Parts: sequence; C-alpha cells; structure tokens
Amino acid sequence: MSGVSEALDYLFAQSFASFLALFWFVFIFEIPRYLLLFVVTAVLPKHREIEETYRGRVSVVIAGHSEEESIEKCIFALREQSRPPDELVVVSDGSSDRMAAKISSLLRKSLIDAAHSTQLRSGKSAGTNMAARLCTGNIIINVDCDCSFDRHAIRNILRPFADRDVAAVCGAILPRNTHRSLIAAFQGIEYMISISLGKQSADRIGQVTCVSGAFGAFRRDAYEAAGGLDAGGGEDLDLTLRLRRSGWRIRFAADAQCYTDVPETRAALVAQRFRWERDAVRLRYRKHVDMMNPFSRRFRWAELAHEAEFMFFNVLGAAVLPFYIFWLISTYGSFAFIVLLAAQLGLLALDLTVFLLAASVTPKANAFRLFPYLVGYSVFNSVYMRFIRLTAYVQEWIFRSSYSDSYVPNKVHKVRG
Amino acid sequence: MAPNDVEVQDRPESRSVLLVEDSSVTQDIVQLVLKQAGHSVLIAETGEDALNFLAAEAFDVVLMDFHLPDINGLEVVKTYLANNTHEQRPSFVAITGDIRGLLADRANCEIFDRVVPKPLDIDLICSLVETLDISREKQVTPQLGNRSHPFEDLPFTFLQWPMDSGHNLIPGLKGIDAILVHSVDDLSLLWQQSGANLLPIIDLTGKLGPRADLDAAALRLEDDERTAEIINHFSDRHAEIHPDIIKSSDPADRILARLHVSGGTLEPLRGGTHRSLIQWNLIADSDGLEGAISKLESEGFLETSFFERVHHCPSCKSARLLIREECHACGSAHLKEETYLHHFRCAYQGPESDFREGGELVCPKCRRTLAHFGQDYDRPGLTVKCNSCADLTTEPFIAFLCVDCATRTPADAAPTRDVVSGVVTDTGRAYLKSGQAFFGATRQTLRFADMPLELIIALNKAASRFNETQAPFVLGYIAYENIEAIRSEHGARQAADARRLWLENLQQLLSDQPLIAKGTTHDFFLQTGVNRADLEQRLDGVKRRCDSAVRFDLGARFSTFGPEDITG
Repeated sequence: MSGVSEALDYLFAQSFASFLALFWFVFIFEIPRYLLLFVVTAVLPKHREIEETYRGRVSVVIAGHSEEESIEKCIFALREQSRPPDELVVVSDGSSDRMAAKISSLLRKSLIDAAHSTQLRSGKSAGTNMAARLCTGNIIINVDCDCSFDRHAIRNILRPFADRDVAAVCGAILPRNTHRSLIAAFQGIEYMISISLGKQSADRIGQVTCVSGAFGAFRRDAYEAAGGLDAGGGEDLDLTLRLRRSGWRIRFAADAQCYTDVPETRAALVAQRFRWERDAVRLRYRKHVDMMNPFSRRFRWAELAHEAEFMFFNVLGAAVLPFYIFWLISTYGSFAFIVLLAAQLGLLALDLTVFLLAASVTPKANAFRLFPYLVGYSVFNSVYMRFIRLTAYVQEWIFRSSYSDSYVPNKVHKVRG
Repeated sequence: MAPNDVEVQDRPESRSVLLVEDSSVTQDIVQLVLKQAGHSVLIAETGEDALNFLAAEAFDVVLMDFHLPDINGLEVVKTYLANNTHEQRPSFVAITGDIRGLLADRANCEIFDRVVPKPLDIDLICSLVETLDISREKQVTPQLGNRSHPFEDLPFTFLQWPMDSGHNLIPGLKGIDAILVHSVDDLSLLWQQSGANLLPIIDLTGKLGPRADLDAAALRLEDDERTAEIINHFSDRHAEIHPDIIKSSDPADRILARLHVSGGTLEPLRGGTHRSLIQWNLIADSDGLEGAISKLESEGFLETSFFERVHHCPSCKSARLLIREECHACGSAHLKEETYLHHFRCAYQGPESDFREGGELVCPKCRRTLAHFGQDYDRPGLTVKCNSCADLTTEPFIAFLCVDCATRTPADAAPTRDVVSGVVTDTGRAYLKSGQAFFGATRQTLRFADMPLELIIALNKAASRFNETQAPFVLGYIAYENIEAIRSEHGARQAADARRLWLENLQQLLSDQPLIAKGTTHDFFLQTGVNRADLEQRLDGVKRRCDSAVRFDLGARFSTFGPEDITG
C-alpha cells in the first residue's frame, strides 16, 4: 500500500511539463481522439433532414449463406416497417442448410418478391451484386440476414436521399445480444461510442467512410456506376471509398435503427476483428493508396484527412503502445504499473464523458444497463483491442492474411491474389 | 307482383280427366287424389259410357283401364279415333297389368301416349296427369323388342338406347328387363330416367368398361346364358327393394338401389373421359355424385374407403387441370432454364445470357472475357428465365390451368376432393328393404301411396264431411321402430302377432270405434269427430297401455295429421 501512496504522491508532485513527459501516449493518441469526438458532436449542428417520405421505388436485397434460422425473422421485421420496401429480393448463396427451401416458401407465401438460390457459394459480394442486378428499385437497401429493424428504420434511412448528391446512407447498428456475455456487453458500449457517436460526428463533417453491409442504402445509379461490390473482403468499405472518390456524399442515419448479434466469445470477436482490420489495411493502404497521394489524379484532401486520422489513431496508436509500455517499464521499473493505472483512471474519466455523450445521442441503446461495464470497457478498448488491431496489422502487412480469409471463397482469392 | 300471383303460377295447370274404370275402389282413390290436386275428374264405368263422354266433352287426359265389362280399352280408343280424325285428341293413358302384351303390338303403341302398370301407383298417376304434354303433337309410344339385337332369342324385354329414348318411355321403365346400349352419348339422360338405375346395362359398344354390367361387344356363345343370369340377378335384387326407394328421385336413394342390384360395391376408376377424371361403375354423370355418396356415408348406408384425392378447378369443378410452371411476374409458362455465371474477379453474378456475346462470354460489369471455367468463372446454380418478361427466379410458381374454363389457380390454392370407393352396409340394405319407414315416423311425410285402399276411401269421406260441416278428424300413422329387431330375433310370426295384438288394444282404447288399417311397414288409424290436439293429449297414455299388453317393445311411434294437413 505504501508503494501506491508513494507513487500517488510522486504523480501529484509533477509539474505539467513532466506530467506530459510521463503520459505522452495518452496526450498524443487518446485525448485528441476523445476531444475530436466531443467537440464535433457537441459543437457542430446536426443535419436537418427533410421529413417527407421518399417516393421512389425501394428494394431490399439480402444475400445470405446458410441463414435458414434468421432469414424469416429478418423478413418479418422488414414487412413491419412504417415505410415497407416495395420489393424484397433474397439470394441464398450456396447455402448448405435449408435456406433455399425456406426462401422459396417465403416466395410462395408472397412474403418476398424474388428468391434466388445457387448451389455453389460465390461470396457476399457476388450474391449481393446479383440481387442488385435482379431488383428494380431506385434505392437498393442491403441488409444482413441476422439483422432486425425498428419500425421506422427504412423510412429514416431514406430521408437523406432527398439530397441528390447523396449516394449512400449508413444505418445505425446496435448489438442485440449485449446481455449474453462480458465481451458482448463491451461491444455494446463500443458500438454506442464508435458507431453511433463516432459516425454521428463523422456525418457532421462529411467523413462517413464505411456504409455497413449489415444495413446500408444505395442510390441505384451510383451503385451501378461504381460497379457494385467488388470481390474480396471489406466490400462495404471498398464501395464507400469508391463512391466518395467519385464525388458522391455519404450519410449516416442515426435514427435508422438496426440490431444485430455481435460475437459473444473472445475467439469469435478476435476472428471478426482480425478480418475487419486486415481488410481496412488492405483497402486503405494498398487498393486505394493513391487517394492519399497528392500527385495522383484521384487525390482528395477529404480522403487524405480520414486516411490520416485512421493511420494516426488506429494504426500508429496500436503500434506505439507496446513501445510506450516498454519505455515505462525500462525507465520506471515497478513504478510503471502505477503510471499505467493512473493513465487508465484518466482514460476512464474520458470514457465516462464520452459514454454519457453517446448515451444522450443514442436513446435506443440501453446505456443504463451497460454502465457497470464501463470500467472493464475502458481497459478492453484502450489495451486489449489495440493489441488485437496491432496483431491484425502485422498479419496483413507481413503475411497478407486478408488474401486467404475464409469469408471470401478460395476461388476468388486465387484470382485476386 | 303480389305473393298470390306467384302461388297461382307455381300450381300445375288444372286438367280435365276422364277415368274409365270399373272398380269402385280405384275410382275413389284416383278421384280423391286428382281432385285434391285441383283437377276435374269424370268417371266412366264402361266403354260405352266412355265413348259418350268423349263425344260430349273435350278432355285433356283419358285414363283408360284395359279390361272393361263391355268393350276393352283399346277398342274404345280405336272407335273414338275413327270418329274424330280431325279434332285435337286427348292424351290416352292405358292402365294394364300386361304391359308386355300391350306393347308387343305396334298398333297399340301409336294409340296410347303412356302405359301405366297395375297395381296402380297413385303418385305416378297424379304426376302423369300433371306432366303430360297435351298440346304437343302426339308421340308414338316406343315399340319395344322389335328392333334386331343380339339377344332376340332371350325371353326378356330390352330397352335399346338411344333408339328408344324420348319423352314417352314407360314411367319407371316397368316391364323392361335390361338396357342395351348402342351409343355412349347422353348416358346421363338415360340415368335420369326413372327406373334406369335398377336395370342391368348391357354394353354393345365395348366402350363402357366397368360402367356396364355386361360387355356384349364381342359376342360369344355363352353370353346368352350370362345375360340371362345377370338379368335374373338384377330382378331378384330389385324385388328386395322397398317401393319407396324404387320410386325415389333422391340421387342418394337411386345410387344406393343401383349399387344393391348390381352387386353392392361402388368402384371409382381413374380415366380421362369425364372432366372429374373419375369414372364410377355407374352410367350416371360423375359430376355431383360426391354429394349423394357422402350423404349415403353419413347415413351409414355405405362404408367407404379412400381411393384418390383430386384437385379441381374452383370455378367449374373440373379436374382437367393443366399443371404449369409459371413466371412469378407475368404468369407466362414460356420459361427457360439457365445457369448463373459468377465472375470471380469483379464479383458480377448473373444469368448466362448477361455474359453471352456471340460465342464469347464477356462480363457485363468489367468487360473482361471469361476464358477459363474454374479460374475466371464458375456456374454456381440454376435459374429459370421467363421468355415473355425476362424475369428470373430459382423456383417458378406451380399453377393449375383449367382446361374446361381456363381459370388459373395457384397449386396450393386449388381445392381438392376425396374420391372414395364403397360397399353397401347392412344398414344400407335394411334401409333399401324398409324404405322411408327405416327412419321412423319423425321423417315421415304423408303419402297416399303407402295407405291401404280402405283407408283412402274413408279418408276421402272424412275430408268431404270436414269441407261441408267442419267435423274434425285425425289420421294417425304408426311406425314400429323395433319391429325389424324383433323379427330377426324372434321370427316373423312372433313379430306379426305382437303387432296385431298391439293394434287390437289400440282399437279398444280409442273411443268411437276408429278405423284401424294395416299397412305393409306401418299401420294407420282414422278417428273422426275429434280434434288433433285433444287426441294427442291422450295418445301417450294409450300408447303406454298398448305397450304393456304385448311381450315385446315394438318401439311404436305416432304421427298425427289433421284435416288441414290432408285437405290443405
């Protein structure tokens, strides 16, 4: 105990300059991130949406692989919408369960408008592209089978299309199963902060960079002009980047609420995040790297800004953290743990502020119930997830792991390298 | 239009009838029944009288007994026709016990419009008077047995279909032993003919299959013997059936009777000739038979077992349905199967026709040529393309198109009906033997045909008295529900004795010496000078005392009818 009190005394005795020297990591990689979120959300005004209901034809396309269990619930949630879609097109992508029979039966009951099944799996991109090719709407809404929706979700995701420059709108996604495990509860808070609050602030500065494949709406002509989804993983990020590059605006509809199941075990979460982060690296720094190159024809300042933001906070933040810890231990010995603890306490205070802000802008999230998990989340997010990210980046940069991801069929990997 | 006008229109036209009959009992009955039905009846007891009446008055119908005390009926008509060649003649109906003898002479057939067998069926006479087309040019009664056919040597009378068809067949086809079918056309008309359900159908066309009782298309030496055997069998079975059922026009009764005479089984067969795709071992039209069959089943007269489930058109009930795979979007059956192509490189996936450019496969999204199956592209599945509207689907709709009325029905919405085979049960046979009495008094309606003659005459007198003086009377109808059980358990004599004893007690217990009349399956009483309501109050007590006097519980039940039921 005496060690702890000594350490605290030492900390409180620091001048601001020496305090900065001790906690430089927090001051460089954490505080600006929170500040950015806070300032943008609190200061910049929200977009004013036009209340009028979208009058064009709206098609919902769903491509799923072996989703026999969830497809029906998803369809019922879509049919319950205050602004029901004009067309529902479902593709069973080489399902090994009875999904093909299930969607045929939904078609016979006229619950959906088209059911297409393939015997071989082609991947999410090909399945969704086919559904988009076969549907007839002016707006194509792409949803995942395991999603369910609030009654006004479709109405609300369509509103931003009143602006003719908007090519795509991302829906708000919250986990449905936060009560199932600690990992799921942490993700509940993470989605509140990074997706709900993070995308709301990104929306205010025109920097929404990924229209999620779980719930996103696209203007058909923009979707077709961009060539739809490309082969390989991270297809939703890829398409969004390509649409942005073509000058289209991308929006986030915070009140178009969709719920999905997040991984409940550590292993499942790690696998999912490995995939996401590897795809992000591949797409941002290989496929679309020219967007950051001032000499390229396709260079845009706005793209450089979000690429730099991602590079700095996500990539560098994760890469520097081990060095920071190593430096602390080598310099301060056992005292390093007290420093880390103090840093974590400071982060907790920031997390609390952001959590409260996120809760205020995300009324649908059950913030009150998630509150007890905030302490754990603080560590989970600032340390654990950073190491996951770092591992993923290393895997991708050195082993190009995204090129053998099982999310994409092997036959596609072979062609795409 | 006032309600009265409707009633007047609904009533059959009143007709003037001359009854030439020497039996006073028959005179009374026929007169009673026809007058009740609103017709005017004049009676001639001799041929001489008949000719005088015919000379003095114009009649619509002449009911002519063949055997008269002076000159016979045939002579009367011939004399009348010889003297009245230019006038419009009445319809002549011959009443005879020897139908075959009468019909054997072709001349007779030209004279009489109808021939009615003896003993007289009152209901038949009544309906005949009302339905005879008196304005039409007279038709010739068919002369049976004169056309050549393969069974001429047999001592039977045959109806030859369709040569003998027409509107003036003998009611109930009495005197005919079998039907020879020369043509399969209009067999449903033949079935509608009263009595046709009880005669063996001999098929000379070879096309009737199980609908006929004998296929005589390819004759063999033993066919004569076989024919005689079948006719005799039908005749034996016919004799077992109660007159109620023989005369019944209820389709269920007619089918049951037919099944009984032909061997007791109802056998459906799959076949394309009829629009129901089911052919029964009956010449009846298959349409609408289900109703009658399910009625027989629910009464317990037919034990059925499942044979087939048939989808049918919801509009016209036809089972001739075209099964179609259809486009979801436009309903066209012009579909073509195609494979999906998946271009690995750009994730474009669509039907092969999207890629096809002459002999090449070119990706419509990235314009690359697909050169290598398995490396550039594969075929992940099958789709069906509509050639009419270009819509694509994995699973086309299945729908039925009715061949007869062109109604389109989705496969899962097409109604079905179950076709059953059946065997006549013991209950069914009991019903065939006892007729309407099988149901007990509760379902009984008053039918003069069931009544003994002396009762009808007494009833006529009571009704006349009621019309003149309003003197009330009650006709009682006694049914014995348990008589069949007693008969089978203790023998016919014991049952008859019990019934006689019960009836004697009834006679003593009812005051003022009622008329008690014995019928075949029912008994009757006629009590004059008493109100129906007053009598009904006493009947329960009377019944209990009658029941206590006999050994067996006969299950006797009364139904009573007052003057309003009989004269109204």
